[in-house]
Amino acid sequence: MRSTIRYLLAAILVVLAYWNVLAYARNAAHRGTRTDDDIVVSESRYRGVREALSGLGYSSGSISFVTNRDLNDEPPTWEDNARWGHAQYALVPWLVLRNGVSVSGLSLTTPTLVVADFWDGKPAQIPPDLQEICDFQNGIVLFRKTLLP
Amino acid sequence: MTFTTLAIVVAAFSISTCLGWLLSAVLIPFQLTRRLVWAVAPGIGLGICSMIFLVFRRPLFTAEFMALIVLAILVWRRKNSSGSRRNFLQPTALALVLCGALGFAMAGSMIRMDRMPHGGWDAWAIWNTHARVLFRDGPNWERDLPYTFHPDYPLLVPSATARVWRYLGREIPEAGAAVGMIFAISTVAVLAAVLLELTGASNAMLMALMLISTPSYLENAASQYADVPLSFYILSTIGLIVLDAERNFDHRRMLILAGFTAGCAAWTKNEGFLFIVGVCAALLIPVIFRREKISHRVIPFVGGLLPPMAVILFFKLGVPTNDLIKNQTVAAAIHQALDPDRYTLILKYFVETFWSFGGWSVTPLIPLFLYVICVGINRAVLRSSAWLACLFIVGIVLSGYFFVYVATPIPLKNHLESSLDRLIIHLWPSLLLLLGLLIKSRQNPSHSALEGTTVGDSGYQPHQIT
Repeated sequence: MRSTIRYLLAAILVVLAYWNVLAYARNAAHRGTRTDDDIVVSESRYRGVREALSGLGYSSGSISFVTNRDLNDEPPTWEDNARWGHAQYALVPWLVLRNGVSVSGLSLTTPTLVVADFWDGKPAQIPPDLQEICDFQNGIVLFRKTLLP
Repeated sequence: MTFTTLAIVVAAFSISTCLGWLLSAVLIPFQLTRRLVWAVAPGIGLGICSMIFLVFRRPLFTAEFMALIVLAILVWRRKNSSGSRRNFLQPTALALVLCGALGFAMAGSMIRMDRMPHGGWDAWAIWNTHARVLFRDGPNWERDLPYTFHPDYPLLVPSATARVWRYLGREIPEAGAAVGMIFAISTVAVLAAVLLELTGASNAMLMALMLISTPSYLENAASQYADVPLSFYILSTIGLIVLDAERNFDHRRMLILAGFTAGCAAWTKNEGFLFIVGVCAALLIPVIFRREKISHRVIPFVGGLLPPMAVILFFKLGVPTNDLIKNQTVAAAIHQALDPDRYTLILKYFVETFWSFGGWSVTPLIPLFLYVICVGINRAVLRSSAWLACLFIVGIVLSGYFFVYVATPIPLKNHLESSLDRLIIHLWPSLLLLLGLLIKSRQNPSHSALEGTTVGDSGYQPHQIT
């Protein structure tokens, strides 16, 4: 009797294991497609920036990052912070700084090149000290910061 | 992914596994079966290769080739002097069931890898960013790494990923997920292999099945986090220590390997340091209380620990202090330590997270509990010094995690909610190992079955505390 119960419980454990593994596989399949993944999208958006920076002969070093909130002197949103992280991941080995600070919190001198992620729409008014180098038509714009007369 | 890409990725992992196999074959006694050597080989190999990658950088292939030759000579010399290792046992029905579950788990992970090739948040923000700095930044990686997220986090996983890219000559985002899956499979294999050495096949297969059917464990591996690799090293260290204690080998080489895997744990995540403290404390207890010679266990273990610790020291000297230390003052930590509400809250989260852990569609914990009651507990194990030492190590690590939360400068609820479930993943395979050793088994362990030793009905026959 005890032996039968033991085999029965072992069988239940095996069935549950398969049930859980198959549920895991099913959940993975329902996650949406590869092109829905935020990072896959972000990698594609920043591909042009990497090529443009290399084209400018700037193969490493720091680059500033701005969003609409930075241009309007407003506090960043959660999405802005996430986009900053995406930019740093996509743009390694360049160090992506926001207000002169890296994602780790360490400061560096403010660079002249600026990458803007206008994920919520390009602003009508761009500050006069930002000279556009390239608009990649996907919300990402590369600027050069100039000294105003 | 083209056939050539796949072939190069397979070659990269095969070479690391060969290195791991050779080192394990040198250090694991011939009395143990080949399956244990094969189980630990992929993870140990990735540990060796990650260190070679970081230390040697450019002559990576030459360094790996030289290491292969040196280890192959050592294995050949040992084989000539010690004889050959025993073969695998015949596969059982439960082993086939386990292989089937492994197949489905890997299929699910492949789908997840395809949908999220860069992994979860921490994977791309920390581990894969570090891998990119190592791969893309050439000799400037030390200069630039401090400007990324959590620059003090150890580099085993990023180096293992970047090494695959070096083999390919370009990046593929799936490399990180492949590393995670190799560690997940190896952890299941180590759990099964250690239990097969010490107890019956049914215990080994059921515990391995429990691990591979834990969705949060699989998700973590496919998400390219470092928690599953850390769980591999913790389990391997504990498994090797138990095996060494329970068999009277004529040498202590296996403890050198345990030291190496413990060092790899600290080279994977900072939590590994806490684990090393726990293991050292467990190994020192017999030295202090039973006057065991320090050369008996502690010195071989420390000998294995030294190479990874040297690499960690080399790395840590160039990176900023950890956030948890940098952003906390002694006065604030003492103030928090005297606040009883923090203890209550942490305890509440520990209980809740243990209860909700696993991400199972249908929890197997109740049938498992009933199975343990039905089969019974091997009471001799509760008096085994090796089993108790491993329980002590797990207890030290859990207590350490608890007190890190007490002193954390991060808002407590946020810290607990964002990390506690992953901390349990570190110890989940080791807890299954301890449970597997505790349950009675009708079958004999593999060594006894092969050598004709009478083991009786209870399977694992530990050395008791004397």
